[in-house]
Amino acid sequence: MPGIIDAHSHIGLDVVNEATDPNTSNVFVGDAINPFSVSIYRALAGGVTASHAMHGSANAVGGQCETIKHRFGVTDPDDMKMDGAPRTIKFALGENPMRVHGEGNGIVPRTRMGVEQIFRQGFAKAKDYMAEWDAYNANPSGAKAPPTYDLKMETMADILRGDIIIHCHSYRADEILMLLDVLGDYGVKKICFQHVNEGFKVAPELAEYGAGASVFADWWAYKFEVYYSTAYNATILTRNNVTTSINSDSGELIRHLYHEAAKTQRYGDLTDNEALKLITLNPAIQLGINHRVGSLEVGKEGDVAIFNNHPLSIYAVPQMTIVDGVVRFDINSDPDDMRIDVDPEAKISSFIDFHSGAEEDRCMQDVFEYFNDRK
Amino acid sequence: MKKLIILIWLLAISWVLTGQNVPQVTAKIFIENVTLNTHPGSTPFVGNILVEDGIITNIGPSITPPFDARIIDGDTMHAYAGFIATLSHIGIKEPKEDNQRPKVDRTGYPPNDVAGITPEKSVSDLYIAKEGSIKEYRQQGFAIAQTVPYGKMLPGKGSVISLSGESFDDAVILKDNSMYARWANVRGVFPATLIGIMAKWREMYKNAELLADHAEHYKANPLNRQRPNPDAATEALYPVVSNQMAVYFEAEKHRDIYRTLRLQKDLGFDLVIAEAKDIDRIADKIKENNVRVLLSLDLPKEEKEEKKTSEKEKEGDNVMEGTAGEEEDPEEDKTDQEKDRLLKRKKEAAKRYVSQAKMLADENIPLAFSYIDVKPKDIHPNLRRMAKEGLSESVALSALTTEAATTLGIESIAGTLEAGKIGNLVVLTKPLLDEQAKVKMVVVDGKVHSYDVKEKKKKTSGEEVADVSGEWSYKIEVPGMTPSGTMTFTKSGDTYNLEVTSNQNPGESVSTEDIEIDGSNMMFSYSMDAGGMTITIENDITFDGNTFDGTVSVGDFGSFEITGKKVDPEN
Repeated sequence: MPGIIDAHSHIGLDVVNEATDPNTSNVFVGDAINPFSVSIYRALAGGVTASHAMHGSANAVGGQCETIKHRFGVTDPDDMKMDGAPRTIKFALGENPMRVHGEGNGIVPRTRMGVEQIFRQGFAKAKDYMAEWDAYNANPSGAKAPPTYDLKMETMADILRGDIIIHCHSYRADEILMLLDVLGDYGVKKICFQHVNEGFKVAPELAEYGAGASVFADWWAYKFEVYYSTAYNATILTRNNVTTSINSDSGELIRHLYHEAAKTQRYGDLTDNEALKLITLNPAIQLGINHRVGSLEVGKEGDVAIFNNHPLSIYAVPQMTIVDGVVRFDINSDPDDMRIDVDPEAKISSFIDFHSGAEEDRCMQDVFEYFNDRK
Repeated sequence: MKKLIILIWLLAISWVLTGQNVPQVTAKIFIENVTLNTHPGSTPFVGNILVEDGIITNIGPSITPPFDARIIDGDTMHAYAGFIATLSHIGIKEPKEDNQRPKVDRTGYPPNDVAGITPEKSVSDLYIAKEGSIKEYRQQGFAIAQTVPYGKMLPGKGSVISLSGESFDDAVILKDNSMYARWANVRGVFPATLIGIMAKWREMYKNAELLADHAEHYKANPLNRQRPNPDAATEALYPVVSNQMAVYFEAEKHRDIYRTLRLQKDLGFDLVIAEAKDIDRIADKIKENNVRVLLSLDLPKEEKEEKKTSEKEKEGDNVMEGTAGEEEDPEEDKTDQEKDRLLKRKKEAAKRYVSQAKMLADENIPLAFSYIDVKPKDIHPNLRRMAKEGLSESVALSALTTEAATTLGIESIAGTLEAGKIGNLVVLTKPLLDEQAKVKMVVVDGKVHSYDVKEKKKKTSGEEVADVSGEWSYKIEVPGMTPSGTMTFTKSGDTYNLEVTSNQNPGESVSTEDIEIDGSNMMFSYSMDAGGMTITIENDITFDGNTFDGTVSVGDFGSFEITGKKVDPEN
């Protein structure tokens, strides 16, 4: 089958969250790629050839993301990037930005209304910013001092220009509609919702706007806003003509996305083709790379995952994963220690440390110290 | 009483020898019959060298001294040009580390100085002529150093100074010649991560370009123009954006170096990579971008082999006691094998780190060193470790002298032993990379600093070690938690009694008298209660003045780094 594509992951990154402000559109996780991360190899062992390395969900407007190809073995971080893939940015609704900034720092957003204001302010200021620069550039006599170059506003302006696809962390239906309203007001078209657990409630609205949805197969109830969920979500969205994908958001789930896709056959009777699309062509569409990857066609890039059984079978085990025509994983040549980079000073220990567990490769990585220590 | 007299006598002698508090009688010194290594790679020859008023005025196999020169016998000694520390904090007092999150109104918009962004800072305001590091480095053979402020993302501007002189103005060779940058941040305020640092660089740089350009227009003709009002940080970057000031960017590991190269490529500043520790795999890119490299002289610690086996024996004993008569557990054997494999890779990695200099030399990449992490006393031992991995004397010497001078742009006045250059030289008892080599004398700006080599030898064989009695605080680096507490040593004969407290068991303390002392190294173990389970904590620490560091093995959990410092250094 075509190499699996994960539209939401945080593997292969040294930094996930710059959690210092509700709007950090100035930062770019493409600057923090770690080509040595063994998580990338583990993803290959699950047949995944490309993933969307995202900023975390600590901020309403998070950082810009990077679409990476799993070329495990290269040492140049730039070689991990999928050159020419469209720019994307992370937005986040709901509890995460409210907890980090409202509760943690005592600033807006403390409520869901506040989150909306972060977007509205961002776009409104970006319009002013564009006008300011237009005025300056129209009269280059050097008489006026140049406006301050503001990287956040540059990015927000690029979103308004349609150069960046928004990928928005979301759960509740009311908030999803709120963001659609905001984007509608500012004429922003390119949006894919992430997690979107209550997407099934607003599937027709999503379809009408042309928004994508990237969901978990059956993961919920890990915090209050994620209780109202169903494993039928992907099916309902698909049947309502929303471009839907299933993602991992985890260094563990990314190893069996084919199982996750198969769950839609138990919950919703999707056809083989529809189920496989959830982890191949559809995520490719959401990332704007479907003309290059996502299906096995002449002229597309050579990203292939080979299984010993039908990939939607519970007995499926990936045998070989090929990226750009290069075998990057082969189950018959799979030594224990796949590290490329060894720290000569790290302790070797049998102690299971904090980082191998829940916190790594996740949405809220790096932000725990921002909670609840406001004075 | 006799001892005391000898001590006073020794003190008096060293006073005269170091010549620091006695004005030099003549400004002319003549070292004769010394083996002269004038340039890196040049054939050494026995000859004489004359330094007058701080300048080398003559050098050759058979030159004669003027009548009023102080003549120094260099017989069996080896002279080199005074070493140049290309990047260091020499002469700057290290500020107390404050790892608290600063209190600011908005963490996304902290004031520049709170966020560690102070490019306007100059070492000229921070330099302390009596700072201990100046002496320490001089004693290792250094005569010139580029020194930079301490700090985070952009600590400030560096200057090149001579390791002598009564004040900054007295010592300075080049003022504010460089910008020092790091991949380091203040906790909890923007930029709090490396992606924040990248963003901040891009934004500041662009604004500096825009404003510098506007300032130039304004300077040419201020009429009808808005007055440029940059903040101090932005203005300090003007010489960087116009490529008049190089950025010395501290980037240790592979990825840091890549990111630094990425920034340089995007922004276009003049870059020197500093404190590199893992750079060989990027040799091609370094050559392609024509970037200068300073390798760190701080190397991974050498592993002690014997300890591991003794640990294993102990474990073996426990198994015997607990499960008498049982067969050896195959699972345990497996974990041992895995551990061995991991250790093997770790060792290979350490070897690769030590080989960095040689590998860059093989790629014909010119290199010098930087001195941010290394302790002065480790410089020569670490050079020898690099030599064991194949680093040649000429490359090592050029990294210490000519390449350092070229990087700093002072190659016309320093770096070799030639008539006309600054009177900086170092005299060693043996050739540079020889195991026995000791610094006998360092001449800086024509001033002689001598070191009593014999006395030093006595010290190492006698192993006289400072009394460590008193209270020490310690911290253990365990991922996800920070066990800390105090250790109180009470002297008892040749050894100590030790009392340990831990924040893991508040209000309790344990004692031990079983302490093995070997020089400044100390090994001891004690047991602690951890949630109903007794665990044995084995310590292996080395004292260095008012601090110590080392490792602790905690039962089966593995071993961790421990650091400590004296609670009240005055006592």
